[in-house]
Amino acid sequence: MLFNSFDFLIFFPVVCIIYFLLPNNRYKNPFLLIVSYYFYMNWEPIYAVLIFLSTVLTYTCGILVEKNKIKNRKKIFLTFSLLINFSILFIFKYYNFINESVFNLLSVAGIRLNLPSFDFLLPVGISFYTFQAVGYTIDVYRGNIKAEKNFLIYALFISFFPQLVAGPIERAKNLLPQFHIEHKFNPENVTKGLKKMIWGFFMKLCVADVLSNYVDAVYNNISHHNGFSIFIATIFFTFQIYCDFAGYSNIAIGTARVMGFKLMHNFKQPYFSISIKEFWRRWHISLSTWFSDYVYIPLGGNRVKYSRHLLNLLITFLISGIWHGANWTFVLWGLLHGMYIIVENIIKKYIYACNSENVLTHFFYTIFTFTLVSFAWIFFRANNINDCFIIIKKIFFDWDIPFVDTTVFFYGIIALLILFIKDFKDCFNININFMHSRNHTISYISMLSLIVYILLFGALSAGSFIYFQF
Amino acid sequence: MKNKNLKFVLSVICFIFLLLIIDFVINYIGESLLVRLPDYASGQIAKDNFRLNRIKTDIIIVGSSRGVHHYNANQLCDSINNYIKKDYTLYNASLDGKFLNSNLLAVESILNRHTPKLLILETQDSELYSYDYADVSFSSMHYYSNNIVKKYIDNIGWKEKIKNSSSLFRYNQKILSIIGAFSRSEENKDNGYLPLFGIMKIEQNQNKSTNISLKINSYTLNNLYRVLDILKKKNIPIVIATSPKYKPTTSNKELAYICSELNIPYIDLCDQYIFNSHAEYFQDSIHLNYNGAQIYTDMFFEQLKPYLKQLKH
Repeated sequence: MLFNSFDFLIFFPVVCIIYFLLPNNRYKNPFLLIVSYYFYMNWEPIYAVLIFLSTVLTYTCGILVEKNKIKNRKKIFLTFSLLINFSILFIFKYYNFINESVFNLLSVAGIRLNLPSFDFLLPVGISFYTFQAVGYTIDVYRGNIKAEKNFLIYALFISFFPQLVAGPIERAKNLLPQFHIEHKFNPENVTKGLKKMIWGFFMKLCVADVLSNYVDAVYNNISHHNGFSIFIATIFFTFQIYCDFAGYSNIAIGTARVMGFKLMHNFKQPYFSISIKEFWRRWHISLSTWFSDYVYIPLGGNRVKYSRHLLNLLITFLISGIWHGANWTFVLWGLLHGMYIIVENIIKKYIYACNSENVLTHFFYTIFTFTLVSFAWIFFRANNINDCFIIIKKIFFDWDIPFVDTTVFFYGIIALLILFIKDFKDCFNININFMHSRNHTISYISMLSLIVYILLFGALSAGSFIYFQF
Repeated sequence: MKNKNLKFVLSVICFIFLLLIIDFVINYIGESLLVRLPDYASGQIAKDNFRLNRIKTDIIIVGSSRGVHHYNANQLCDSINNYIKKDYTLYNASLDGKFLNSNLLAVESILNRHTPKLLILETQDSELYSYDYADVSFSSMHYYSNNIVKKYIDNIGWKEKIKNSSSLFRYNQKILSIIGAFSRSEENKDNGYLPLFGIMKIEQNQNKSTNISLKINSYTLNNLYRVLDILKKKNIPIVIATSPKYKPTTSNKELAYICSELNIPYIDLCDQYIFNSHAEYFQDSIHLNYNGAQIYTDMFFEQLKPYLKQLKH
């Protein structure tokens, strides 16, 4: 079920009403688990089996890891859990890609190795819940948390519907204890949650889905468009992907908040970053911190030789790229960000440590970071590697009168302006509030205006979220 | 705590009430604007408004973009009038990007208030397979003012019924286009026909045939049978036609079958030697340019002649 569907508009209030009417957690948690599975099974019912399998496996391994006092045995159970979880992820997400890549590579050498390929849909959100489950097992192994004994609560932690499909990838330490607390109807939570949801819907429907019309028209037909159009489409995609994913995260966080759950923040005005390092502290925070905790630090982080530190950074970003999708474009995107970080690190260490206190320098760094990030998005959005290079070549050498879609330009630019004001205000802590104003009338009018704007100008019949494919 | 909850419930009620008022105001503004739209204002919304609620010509052509750009209305009208020695009017009411369901909706709306002498429906098999909600929802502004629109939307399902009860939803992304139509109103010299200029660029792998097994959409088929039945009862002649493509890769077996079953004339000129692989007649692989449309209109008229006999009387 999509957050931006009519079904969700019926599903969510019904779930909330029943949830708050149920007397205690004995009823509330099983109910949430059932509706979470129902929410997921709206896509492809059979894939709920995979979530259940991952749940049973990590639950059992978590308990076995905790019970065993011998470190080697703990390691065996942890390895077993990781192996099975990543195997499922590999088969469903990467098998065909690796199979095809190996076939192409061997073909160059004149060898024809034809392994069977699987023809199935990628289970929605598989990378998200797998990482959440794996993170839990590692935390238990490290002794950071105690293994959850209540299977029902653990199953709910893995399948909690607001964040099941596209995150935020929650930590057991934050979310698990919240299922033990009884959440009663709280007007403050409901109001805060709804405001977050409304803003999420605005980002998704009024920015991302409106701009996507232009981006898709250009990127899916690059041979027919000149460099100027592709340049505009790239800038639009930079905002589309932000609003698509941050929009989803806001709706997820808001949905959970209405029911009394607090999920972690996933985005913090990333395009106001003054460096790539800062960008990754503000973009997809739940994934960045996951990679930092479970990949970068175990590799040695920055407490190793400098060259090894840089290699650790590159490996982490490479894995991040691969996590995003089974395509060489994502591998290149990850590598490119890895290279950005390495170069930035070297410059800061040996050449010049930037001082961003001056407004002009701050502005320059922000624009420079934005340009680098936008450039990298080309690799993320292009349909294949070949297209990436055509796009780059056209952007630099083939400018002409751009393709103009007046509807997209008009609605898109107005929405981008609203987004800019909100993010600018939040980023620089400017004390002007609209939806969150203490003055009820201002808050009320802001909410109402935003809802009317979404209904009147948003792309209501648009499609899915980009990050669902991951 | 109870006070807080009560305050919250009251706020929600007030909020919904205000939203309903805004919804009502938008409906009022929207309908007032639609009523005042000039007959021949340019733009999709204005043309849809015209074909749904006002068109009264003797001969009407409906179809998708292939209808808009392939049937030179003045040329065809002159040919028909010269042949049958009458002074009939003709309007090309086709719309870009609007397919069979939208066009059947237009035909049914027209038949509800007007009796044309002849209807020409440009379509192809692929329009029978697809059901694009946007096709019908494009006319949703007329949900309460046009019974046929309401029927088409309600037939989709109860969710659409609920959604379309809100004018904010019905006028979604349309209000500014309606306002824009006022500023673009112009004289209608071409009677709905929009010529395309330029010659297509030939590319590799153009019009690759697909081997996907397709199923006729039941919603579309029901609408088609119902409209054809109304036409039969009202004794209004209809001709179904398919215009040429640069490289026709699929046949129109389904349409041919339906037409033969109901004894309706079907002029299938999709696969014509004169047009096949002749880029000079196309603007892109599925749309004829001005020159192509002129040749096609003549060719279509020749095929239409046998069915014009009853218009003579």
